[in-house]
Amino acid sequence: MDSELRHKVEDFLYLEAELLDERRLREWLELFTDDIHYWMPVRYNPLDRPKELSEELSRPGESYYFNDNKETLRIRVERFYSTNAWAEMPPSRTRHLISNIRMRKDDGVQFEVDSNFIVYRTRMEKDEDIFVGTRKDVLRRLNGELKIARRTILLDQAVLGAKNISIFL
Amino acid sequence: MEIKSLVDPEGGLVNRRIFADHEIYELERERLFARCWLYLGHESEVANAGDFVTAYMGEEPVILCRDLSGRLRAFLNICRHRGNRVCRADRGNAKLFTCSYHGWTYSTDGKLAVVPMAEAFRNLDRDQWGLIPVAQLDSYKGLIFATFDPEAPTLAEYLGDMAWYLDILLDRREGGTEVSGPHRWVVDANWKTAAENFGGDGYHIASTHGSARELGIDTTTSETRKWNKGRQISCGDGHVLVAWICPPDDAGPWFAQPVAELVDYMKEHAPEIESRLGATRARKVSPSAGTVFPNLSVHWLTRTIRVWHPRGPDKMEIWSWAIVDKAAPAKIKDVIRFVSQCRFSPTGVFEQDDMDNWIQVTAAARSLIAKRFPANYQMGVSEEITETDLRGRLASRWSDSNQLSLYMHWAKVLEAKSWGEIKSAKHG
Repeated sequence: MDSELRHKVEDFLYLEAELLDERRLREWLELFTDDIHYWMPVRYNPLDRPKELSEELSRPGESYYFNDNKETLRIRVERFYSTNAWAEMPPSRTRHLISNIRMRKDDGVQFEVDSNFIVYRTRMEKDEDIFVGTRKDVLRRLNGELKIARRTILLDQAVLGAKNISIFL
Repeated sequence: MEIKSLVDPEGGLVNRRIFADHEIYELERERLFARCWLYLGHESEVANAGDFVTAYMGEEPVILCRDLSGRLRAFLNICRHRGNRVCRADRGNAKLFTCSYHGWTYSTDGKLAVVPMAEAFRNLDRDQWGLIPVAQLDSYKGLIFATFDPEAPTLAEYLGDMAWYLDILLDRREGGTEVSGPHRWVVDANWKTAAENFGGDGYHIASTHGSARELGIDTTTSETRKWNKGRQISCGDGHVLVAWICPPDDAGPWFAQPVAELVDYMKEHAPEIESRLGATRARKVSPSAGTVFPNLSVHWLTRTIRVWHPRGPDKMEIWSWAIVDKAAPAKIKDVIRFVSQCRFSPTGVFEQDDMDNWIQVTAAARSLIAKRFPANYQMGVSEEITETDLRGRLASRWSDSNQLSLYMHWAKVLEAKSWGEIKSAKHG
């Protein structure tokens, strides 16, 4: 494994977390390619011991938390700059902890990176939520920079314990 | 306790206790959730023999399944032996449900099929120890309901005129509908805050969902709002909805569709839709949201159905599905599902803004001092609105008429000792 690339990927994911936690979301959106598919399925308990992870997840054509392209992501981002998107008024205070980074298939143009997350959210007086899961990203080399070309977010919870997901995980 | 005194329809006042009181909640469990027809699932989720989903009726865990002979069944997901759950999955296909504790095994019709070491029991009559079934189960155009009360009226009688409006969602195309989901999430709010909101609250949209208008993703176009002839409709028995009464020359099933692809889809299939629903329901009335008493809500325009499962007086679990025409092309189904979930789901850009309101309304009901001051349901002037070809009692969209009618029925159900009493005291 190319340790220089690994450092670059870690820096990239930590920078992304910083942009999210500092609510610099218009800058955050620019970390994605124009053909981004931002996908977060719903988790279910299967009857039989699953042979593959996919048996626990909603499939395309079923339900999802996110199934966004860059334009629909932009609408979500712009909510944070609008005057009355009440779920974020006052805004959430978040901390994205990214760990267990695994570098996978690399075809020279783009490569797969898996990572785990714990996202702590607190808001207003003492609202608290903890979102835990994994991200499966495809990062693309574009004009000397890294961009996220595909993101899959797998939350560990089947029944979401939070009143909403008004932030990005 | 005098439940009826908590709702004052003449004064337009509701006592906040109904949103937080433990005693009232226990009465709801017994007299409302154990007695009313409750939504359980959609036929598309249990299409084949052995298909099942686990669900809830109020707080009661239930298995809904199609038995091996093809008949729909629902029973408590509780082993008759010690009470362990006999099914731990959310959905699947099974020939048998086996309890993990001691291995009691039930067939899909609920019968006790296998008891390990049965000979060691004293006179165990397996016929007496099947899973506890619901008292009645029936479906209406794909929506499966059940009740624990054998005395409850038939589902058709229970839904009454609400069925006529549900058709506008369920019966547009040959083949009916199918669902995807559910989304499930937990909110610290009383279930009625959501039921009343979907049942008539057109008032909150401009404020709560102001960002949607700002970002150009409102469900109702500026044309719809300009026309603005909105109505609250109370179908009786607690069933309520809000609808647009469309301008006669320029309307059809595509009225108020939020995206161009769906307008095109509706225009293309308008003749089929009108032949099924008739001109009034295809052109004149376009429901947006409503509540089937007590806790199933529907959003016609963005095609979601959802159940507000009670989890105590100040907590609910929301189960929400997207619902699409089965006959629609795959691409249109995807568009409908996106329009639906992008707006109504835990990540929905409409729905995420609703939650704090309901949580804080519930919290207000725990306030000792606030409870001395009733909540205001005084919107709307008493004007008689008649649309002879519509069903139910009509009021202005800007009114609390629906909410009061929901709560009056709620109070009646809680006070009544039997279904006979509920039926003999019907209000319009």
